[in-house]
Amino acid sequence: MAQNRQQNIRNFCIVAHIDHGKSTLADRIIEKTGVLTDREMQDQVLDNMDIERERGITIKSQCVRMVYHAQNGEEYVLNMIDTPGHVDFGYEVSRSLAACDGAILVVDATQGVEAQTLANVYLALDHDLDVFPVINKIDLPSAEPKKVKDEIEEVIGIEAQDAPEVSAKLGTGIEDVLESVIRKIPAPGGDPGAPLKCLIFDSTYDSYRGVIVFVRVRDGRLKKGMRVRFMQSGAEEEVVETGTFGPGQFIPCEELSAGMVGYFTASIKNIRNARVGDTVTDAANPCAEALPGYKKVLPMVYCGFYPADTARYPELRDALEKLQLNDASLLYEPETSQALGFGFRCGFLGLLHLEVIEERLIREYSIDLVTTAPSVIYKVHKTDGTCVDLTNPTNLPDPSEIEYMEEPVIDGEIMVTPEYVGSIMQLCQERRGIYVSTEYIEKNRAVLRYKLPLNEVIYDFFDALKSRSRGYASFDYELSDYMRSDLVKLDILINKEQVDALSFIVHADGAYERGRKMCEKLKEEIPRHLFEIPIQAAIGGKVIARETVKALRKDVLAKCYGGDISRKRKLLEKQKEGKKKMRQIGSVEIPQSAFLNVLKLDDEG
Amino acid sequence: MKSLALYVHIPFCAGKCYYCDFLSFADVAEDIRLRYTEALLQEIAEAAATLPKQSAADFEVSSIYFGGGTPSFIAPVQIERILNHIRDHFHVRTGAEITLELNPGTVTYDSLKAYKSFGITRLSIGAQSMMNLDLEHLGRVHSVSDFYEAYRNARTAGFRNISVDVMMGLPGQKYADYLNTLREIVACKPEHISSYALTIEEGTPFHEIYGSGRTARDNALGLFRLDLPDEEEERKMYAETANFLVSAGYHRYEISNFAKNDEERPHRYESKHNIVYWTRGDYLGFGLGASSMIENTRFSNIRDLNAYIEADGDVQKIRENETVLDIRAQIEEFMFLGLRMMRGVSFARFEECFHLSMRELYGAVIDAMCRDGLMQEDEGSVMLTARGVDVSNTVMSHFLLEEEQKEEDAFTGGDEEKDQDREAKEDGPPQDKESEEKP
Repeated sequence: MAQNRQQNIRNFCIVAHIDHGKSTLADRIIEKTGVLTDREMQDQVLDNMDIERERGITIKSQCVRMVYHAQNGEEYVLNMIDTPGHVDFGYEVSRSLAACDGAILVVDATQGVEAQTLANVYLALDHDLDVFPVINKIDLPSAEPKKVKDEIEEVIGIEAQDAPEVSAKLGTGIEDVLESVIRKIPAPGGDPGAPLKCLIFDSTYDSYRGVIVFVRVRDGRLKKGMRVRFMQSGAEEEVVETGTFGPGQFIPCEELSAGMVGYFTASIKNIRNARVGDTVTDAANPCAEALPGYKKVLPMVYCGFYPADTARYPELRDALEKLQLNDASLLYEPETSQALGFGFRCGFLGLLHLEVIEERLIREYSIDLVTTAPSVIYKVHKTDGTCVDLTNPTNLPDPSEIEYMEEPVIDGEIMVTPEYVGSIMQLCQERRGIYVSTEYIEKNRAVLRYKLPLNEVIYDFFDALKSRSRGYASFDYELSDYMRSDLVKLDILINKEQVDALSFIVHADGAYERGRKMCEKLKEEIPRHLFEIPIQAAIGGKVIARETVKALRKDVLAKCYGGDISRKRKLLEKQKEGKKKMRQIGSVEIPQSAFLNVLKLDDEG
Repeated sequence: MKSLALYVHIPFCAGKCYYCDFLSFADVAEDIRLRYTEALLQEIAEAAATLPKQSAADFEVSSIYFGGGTPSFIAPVQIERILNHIRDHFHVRTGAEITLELNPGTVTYDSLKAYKSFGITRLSIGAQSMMNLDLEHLGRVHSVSDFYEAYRNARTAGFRNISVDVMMGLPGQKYADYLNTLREIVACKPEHISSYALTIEEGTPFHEIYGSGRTARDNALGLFRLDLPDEEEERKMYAETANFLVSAGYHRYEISNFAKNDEERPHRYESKHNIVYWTRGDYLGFGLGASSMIENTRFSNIRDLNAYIEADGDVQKIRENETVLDIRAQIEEFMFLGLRMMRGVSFARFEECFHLSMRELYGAVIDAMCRDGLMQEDEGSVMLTARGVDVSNTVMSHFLLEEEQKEEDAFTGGDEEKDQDREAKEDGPPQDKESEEKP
């Protein structure tokens, strides 16, 4: 019986290039299997973080269990895991894949194979998943399913002729997809009789239940009351509840057996004891060896997070700890800034990842943040022969102690239609890119390969790319190595005082330009004070750019007519409120937004 | 006997000026205007009967102000009815200041004579500029010669206390133009001059034109638009107003107000009515949208004309936004309203009102402001400097208290003695108080 049940389980995920309709397809599948009534059905059910819905992207993996009555008369349990499409969130994809046995590859019938289509497929194949394609958006007039199928076979090398053709938007062809899941994705292996062995692929925190651990059971059974051991941390806990995933809710069940995907709670106090990637086993009857964990993802971008209200430092720490629980790639450690007080230096996979974490802290934890300039990790080779990793520009040793510096370089792959190749190449040149190759995978699709310094990419490269290709270019990158480079530290002085939080490392050639833009932007951001404020950019004490915020000359309300003072009070209160959102640097008050806005130099929004 | 100031709002005008966001209407039929007066009379009677805690007999009216709108736009006989009605229901002190706002072009010698005959003591004339071009740009209904005529008639009718309103920073206005306006006005020797910088208010035609700077659309449409004077120019006008008026025998007693010097009674020509607002005396406002403060409770009247007329004086229906000021709000107001007066706020007076030391509460702020040259201390008071006046909002915002401070026990003590405070304060009109403070 149990074996039977295992035969009728399918664990799968959906992978796609961003915007190819992955989340919409997931919604339709949920709708089709009747987990939700129409009334409960909201667009993009799986994207339940506010930020995800707003931006139309998937950040966190989401998991849902469905029951499907197949055409062969049997009932199947489908565990579907939605995965992020953006390159920054590759680690999430990787984690989800480890819990699956197969993947649906969604390809846009109008766009065809794109950079992340390939990246995600390779990731899935690396995890030994069976992948089958689905052609989406066939309702669009420009859809060319036939051509796209050919392309899939040609470029990716997987069978695509019998790929279901669907319109997730209209809900057509969904049954076909589900039947393909049953046919093409294998039932999970594993021995329910063997000692318990589960992989933690995600977790979340609930203030009532503590840490909720998401697991894929490889072998054995996981039951309430069982004492389990986290093999990596060595911690042991008693299981309080086991269950499966409904959309947006947890549904308790008796037990989770081999092949199943679900969750358990164990009133885990210390969230560090239940790390994603760890293996959970039966404390009384442990399995011989742990499952291979995930490849540790290394942050590429660092920046400082400081609570706007300094008193909220402990809250920020708790919030980061909770976010890290289901976002293993987020790193943080305490640091202090003269300008901003106590905060954390945080490591991210990319700039979008940074922004998402920032927004989640603001929205989910209501912590207003001041963010410092993002920085990559530089290697500083000192004259004494040692080499240090520099994640915070403020910590740059004295120039006399520096032999030379190296910066991280990425292998960038830009896929674009031929008419934009020229402008994209120009952009890459401007960003100190080293040309590697151009390849036409089809007559109207070119892949440009460049080696680019990562610090040129983390600012606004993605935006620039989109604007110079009218949104057609897609970009994928991975860290390749470190390269010796002529780097300098650019300091910003406001009213003659250096603001440590605004210092950053920049290539010597771009220093003047960057300094000038920073000053201009700060001039816009800093409100006029009662005195004149010089804003200067300097390298090693030498001023290279300057702007001035003129002194406020007039701020007076003429009249309180007929004894109506309410407007006067409102105005004064607004002014006072505004002050609270400021950071005091010497005698200058700087709006907190300035710290992030000065980084978006070319972004007029 | 407590002092009380009365404000009467007449929300009608011959035309709506382009910059004006006051509560007034230019296109109301005469019968509506008459019904408004009736409702106003009802409100006055009811308000007198429902003065909180006290009866009207406990109050002595020290000043009355007819504002608008354009009070001179309605028939003088209506003003007379209102004034007589007030006298019937309130005790109006002998020699009370009774001001009427008027616009040139809406008065004649006869009407001015009438105002004088039934007891208006002071006129406030909205001249705004002495250049016809400026007046046109502002959408004023009068011309420069209308002003002269009205002014002459007012003098002939016997008015010895006249205030003239002037505006600076007008579209297309140059420093020299403004100075010329000031010169011409001073040549008329009014007893009082109010000088306001033009502000662009939301919901006015000016806001649509000047609210967001010149747009590409303006250019594309070839819309004609004069530029507002830049900040430097406007500040120059502002600074010169004070210099020029002081040299012409006026003194500034409030941020925007200048009074003619008088050897025997230095404060003679200051607006007693407006000083009540700045010194937080009790005042009652009648009519559409009028504001009141009685015994540290603020409220205002509804702003819907039909609803006001409908309510027919029922103060229950008319009044809204009632706010009982806690001690924190009282202190804040004391500071930011008091600082509008050039004499500033007195340490002794503060302690008298709140049984708290101003030095203890605001010492740090005051010191910082004095250090930055925005305030100065003189004879037991603190006041704005000229530079402080320029940026007075910034200065005043520092006197708003933090929420935590509000919770502090120190603040709760004052409540009981509040009534006595008020008694003490209301012994005389605020400006008399001031003469006592300043030797």
